[in-house]
Amino acid sequence: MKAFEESVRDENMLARRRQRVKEQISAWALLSPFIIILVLFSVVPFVMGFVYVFLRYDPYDVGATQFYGLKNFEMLFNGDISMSQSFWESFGPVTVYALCTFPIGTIISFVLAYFINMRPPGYKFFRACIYLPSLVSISIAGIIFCNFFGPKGSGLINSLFGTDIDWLGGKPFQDDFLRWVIILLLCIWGGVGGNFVIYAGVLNDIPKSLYEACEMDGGGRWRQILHVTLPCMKSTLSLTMFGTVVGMLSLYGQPYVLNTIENKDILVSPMMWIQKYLMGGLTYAKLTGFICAAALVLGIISAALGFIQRKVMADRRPGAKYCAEYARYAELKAQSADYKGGAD
Amino acid sequence: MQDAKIKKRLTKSQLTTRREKIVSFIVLAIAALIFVFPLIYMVGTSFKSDLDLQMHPENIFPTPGQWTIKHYTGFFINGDGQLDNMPKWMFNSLWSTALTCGLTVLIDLVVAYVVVFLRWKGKQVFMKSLFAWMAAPTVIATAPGLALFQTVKTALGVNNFASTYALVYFWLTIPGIVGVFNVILMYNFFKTIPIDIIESAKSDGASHFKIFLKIVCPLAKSTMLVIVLFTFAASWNNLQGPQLLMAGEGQAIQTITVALAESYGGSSAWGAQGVSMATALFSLIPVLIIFIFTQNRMIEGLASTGVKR
Repeated sequence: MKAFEESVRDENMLARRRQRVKEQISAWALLSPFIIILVLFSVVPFVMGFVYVFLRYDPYDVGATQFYGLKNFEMLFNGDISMSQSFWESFGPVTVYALCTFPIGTIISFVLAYFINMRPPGYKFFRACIYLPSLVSISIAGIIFCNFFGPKGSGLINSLFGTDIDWLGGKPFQDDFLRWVIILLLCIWGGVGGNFVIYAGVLNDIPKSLYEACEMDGGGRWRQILHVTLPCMKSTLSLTMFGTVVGMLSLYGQPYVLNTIENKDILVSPMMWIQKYLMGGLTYAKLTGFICAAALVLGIISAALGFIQRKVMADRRPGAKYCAEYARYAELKAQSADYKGGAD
Repeated sequence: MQDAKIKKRLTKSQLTTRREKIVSFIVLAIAALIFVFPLIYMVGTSFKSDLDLQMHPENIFPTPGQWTIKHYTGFFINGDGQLDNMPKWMFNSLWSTALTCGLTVLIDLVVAYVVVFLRWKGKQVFMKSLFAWMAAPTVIATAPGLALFQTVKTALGVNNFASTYALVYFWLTIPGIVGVFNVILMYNFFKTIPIDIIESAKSDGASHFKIFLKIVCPLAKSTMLVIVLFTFAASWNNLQGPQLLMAGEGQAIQTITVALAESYGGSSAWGAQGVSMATALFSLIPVLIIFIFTQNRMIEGLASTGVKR
């Protein structure tokens, strides 16, 4: 009898184990297309980015591959070579520009989100209108803005005001201030929508009781924004802001589509530099290792920015803690106020 | 006495609310107008006659009686009576974008299902590596990725149009379907499905395939939609990736976004205002249709994910 029970238990265990093995196999089988594509097309290029930098690699002539050591980096950090010089120079305009753009863009999207959260009639329509430009491709936006700021006789602004301003001309750090203003406009026009929608979502999640508590303490609208809204949004704000800065480093489309014939080939961002030489085809194919080294430098810089962001967020634990503390504090104060009111 | 006090306070807060609504309405109306104005100008300019384009660039719409659809008919059939490049670009963009969207959703559904509802070893490691991969700076992979593409192209001896086209579009669509962010979006949604439903279906004898098809997929409809919308917009508007793959391969192979940037972008837009605006408007239509029908869900989806793409 006992032996029979044991054999049944064994069979059950065996069946369960078989089932588990089957599930194991089918899980990996179902995951395999995802894993294979991810590894082949994303992980392998990423890893090769650390390999090619040590090689002289020509994709059209693989047989001629040589080990180069640190030669590619020596070339990159050698200011005498015009290619590497233009790479380092391209960081200049883009950094200045990023420092100007991201406060402006953040403030505009925050203000718009704040107003949309008051829920005026038709707010869904307004929200859609403000978000719509984010879906317009950079090529279309470039065509429209080039027609806006075109030369006299074809540009909207110039003929509207009867002026003759060369909006899109000029060289970096010399006379292309207006061109950067327009790149900024284009970035705001097409880039505000995403952050605006995210901020509106976060604003909507802030409990009304916090505002009421602040109002009871005698806080006006500015105090409410300063002590309730901003602390509650801190984590989202820092996330989107650093995201914007890292995105700025890879600025490409806007300067690519906004130009005149004279400054068509001026490289104003590291991403433009990389893209231009990669698109050079056979001409620059021998320099693959060199271009990979430049991309690696850019990648390390953006990774460092991301790392700083995570550190800042981890140290301060923004948002939630302040919000919770404020809530507790406000609650206590409200209670004591009630108590005093009762005594009167 | 107390009643009057309460009444007064209520009316005061109501007043504030009303004032808030009026101010925000005005501000938002102005902002919405500014944001949409460039698109309105695009629509107007695309219908202007050549004379109007030269004489009145300052008008938003063509002079009455001078509306023309010349710029639109021009890019279907060219001067030689042959099919122009424009329909080819649209076709390239449409099929590759549709394929990317379909495969993305399929792969996300399967991966999220396997991770959430199947029991297997290595699950933790798998998810951890996905999260780690999200933080990797992908710019490092751009140059080597193109070098690998060129190596494969040379090795396969691709030289005629058909094979180049096949390889370029394979390389464009397939790597695009494994966006880790979408997988995590789907994974987060699947975690909210109560496990009891799955367990009871299992005890009724339903296979995993049946559970996936009959229970999980219908539940995931709105997440699927959000993923499709953003994949569509991202893939349709992608400029950098396709530009690299299509460099030096001629115009017929290009997607609409690449073609617009190269043929009408920047300084080259000024020569052909009407045509460039008409082409731009035409290429916006698919995205516009999707947005008009699903705008609320799209925007709320973006707000709920809380991360910009």
